[in-house]
Amino acid sequence: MLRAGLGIGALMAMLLVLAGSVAAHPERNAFFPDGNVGSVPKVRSKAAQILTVCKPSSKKLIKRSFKGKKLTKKRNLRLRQLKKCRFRHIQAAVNKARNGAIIRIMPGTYKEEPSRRNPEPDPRCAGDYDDIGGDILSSGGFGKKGARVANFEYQRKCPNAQNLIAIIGDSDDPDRVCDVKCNLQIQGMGRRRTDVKISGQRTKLNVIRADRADGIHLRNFTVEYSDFNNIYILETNGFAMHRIKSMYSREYGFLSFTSDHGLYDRLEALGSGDSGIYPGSGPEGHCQRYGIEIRNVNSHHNTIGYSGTAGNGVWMHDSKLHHNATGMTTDSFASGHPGMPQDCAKWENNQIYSNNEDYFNDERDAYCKNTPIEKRDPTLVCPTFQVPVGTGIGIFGGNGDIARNNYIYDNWRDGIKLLYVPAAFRGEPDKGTDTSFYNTFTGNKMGVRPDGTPDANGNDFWWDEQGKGNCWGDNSSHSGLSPSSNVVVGLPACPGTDTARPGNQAKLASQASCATWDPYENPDPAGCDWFTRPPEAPDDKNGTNGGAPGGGSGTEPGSGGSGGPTLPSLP
Amino acid sequence: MRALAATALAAAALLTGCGGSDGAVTGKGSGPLKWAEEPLLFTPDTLPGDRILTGYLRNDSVRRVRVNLPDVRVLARNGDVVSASPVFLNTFGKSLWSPGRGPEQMPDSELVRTGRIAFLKPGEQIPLTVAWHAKDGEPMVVDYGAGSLRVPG
Repeated sequence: MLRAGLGIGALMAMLLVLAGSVAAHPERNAFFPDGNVGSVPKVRSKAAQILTVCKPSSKKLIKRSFKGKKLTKKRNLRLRQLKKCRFRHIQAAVNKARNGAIIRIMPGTYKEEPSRRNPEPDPRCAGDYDDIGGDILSSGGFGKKGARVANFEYQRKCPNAQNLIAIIGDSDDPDRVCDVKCNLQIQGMGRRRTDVKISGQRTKLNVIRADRADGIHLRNFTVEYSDFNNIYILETNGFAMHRIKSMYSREYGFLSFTSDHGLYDRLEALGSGDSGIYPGSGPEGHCQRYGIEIRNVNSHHNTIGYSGTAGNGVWMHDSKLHHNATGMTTDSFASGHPGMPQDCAKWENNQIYSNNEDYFNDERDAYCKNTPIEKRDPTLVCPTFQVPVGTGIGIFGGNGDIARNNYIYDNWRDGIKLLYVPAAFRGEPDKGTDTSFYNTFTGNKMGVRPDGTPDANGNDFWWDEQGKGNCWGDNSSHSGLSPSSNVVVGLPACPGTDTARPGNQAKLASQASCATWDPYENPDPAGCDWFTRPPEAPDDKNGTNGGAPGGGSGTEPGSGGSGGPTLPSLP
Repeated sequence: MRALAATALAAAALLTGCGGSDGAVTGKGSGPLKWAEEPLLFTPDTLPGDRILTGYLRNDSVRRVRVNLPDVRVLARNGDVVSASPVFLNTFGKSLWSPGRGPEQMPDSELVRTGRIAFLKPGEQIPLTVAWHAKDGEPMVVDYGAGSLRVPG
């Protein structure tokens, strides 16, 4: 009886902890758009409707930004365009926009004060929620008592409850296809992307939400301080994000979900508590097509540079993921994310380096645990999910993924980590084991910089030895060395074999207790080595480090990592 | 109301599991859950001061068994609790919600998925991994409220 009492006490304690938590907002029940139609929207300079937004300071800022003789023509053009300004807030212009409109945002800082006055949750939309998950029934199945998530109707009827700027493209009909606010182009009119700043001040979950907003094109501004996503693209067929800087989102910088025909181009993402870019629940092209292209992205000083649960059909190239705790991940972890298990992402010609930022150290743990969210310095990264510090790429339950011709170096734990995830973990136990199949790793340059300087990873390839068809070929290291791995008998060469392997039980279990990480209750679980930054790996056989220091220092954006290639210069 | 219902359910599970405590300090194991085969106890290469125990549990009873993770404790020979990180998983996984973002009551389905609840029909299996720091003690059993599991020596 005493035992029963203790058990109930523990359960009650758990319930009390949960009761103290804030409201939830994982994804609603979302659906892919029809991938057979649609395209990435191109930039336009003309439209039937052009709406201009400005601030009282815009004129002064234009003159300052377009200063000098060389820019006279452009300056005068902007000043003429400024005269057409009719809006002080971007949302007001969106509200007036018809399909195909261009919204010009003149230099200035946009805090969208009218949007901030909307309550969340909004009592006008009290009935507009989806239930996700459920309770255990006596039959053994799950019932309806799940968690509530705001659904599309909530966003349509109360657009600024959760979002500073909401572009809601679908009207009150059942087709889930954009018919209002479609093909909008929203662009900053500054010379630099920092000339237009959209600032959430963490008052809203999302700074910009494009929901079923097919053809949305966002370009040339800076966005900062969301509580969840700085830019959130959902159930949208055709989107482009170009030349945008995202800073200090509490979770994600740029996030797309159940969207298709998308482009992430010339983006910079930093200071995200989860990931800088997140192409999640990606197009189901099943390796026949890649519906989302990511290029020229620079993602750094986030917990993760790039992540994507069910990050399918993504092609990332010519991008840099560096000075994060982990460079990138893709996974099949979560339930309710369409497109599981994750498959068919292709990463080539990228630089993934120096991902050693120490955001899980004791000092940061204590700060994030003991400082209420509203009182935190928003420029300090508090991780919202756990990752293995010092890792370049992590594939956690993926199929048909391709990593080739990338430079992967100076990640002090592992260059690429391949780990399976059982289907039970996303709530589909009947599917058994359906990852990691047919992933290929070829032509990667491991532990060496593009200029040939050795800069070793702690270990080049980590594999749990599970799955089938996975293969490694033609990867190279510096000084004629072969890439290192944690597989004693060697990694399977390409093409892999169809023989399924069960995995190494100890390697698998060495990752399990990392699942119990909780920054409030269990920041350093026993049996998990992820949260201690490994020492810098020696760059040569003599145990010396020849290259300039490139490792993360646990410092914040802009101050970490003095080594590594020069960052792309984005004006 | 939901909290009360959950508490009642947990209490029912604990009471129906009866008799589990006798083996707690003898290391024999007891109750409805058994190791399906010999579990693996090892020291991870990168954490020489830690120990990890992993294996599959099978419900050998004729009833459904529910175990909530807070009820799982690792006990030393003298009955002292050894601080440990148990989870009903055999590899890494994560929640939909980041810590502090969760709903007032996390759905059971999410707790099952993430290894916080074991809910087994008769004959069903589920993985269990438990890790601890060796300096914190030498576990004899893993106690799960309705019974206990032997820790291999």
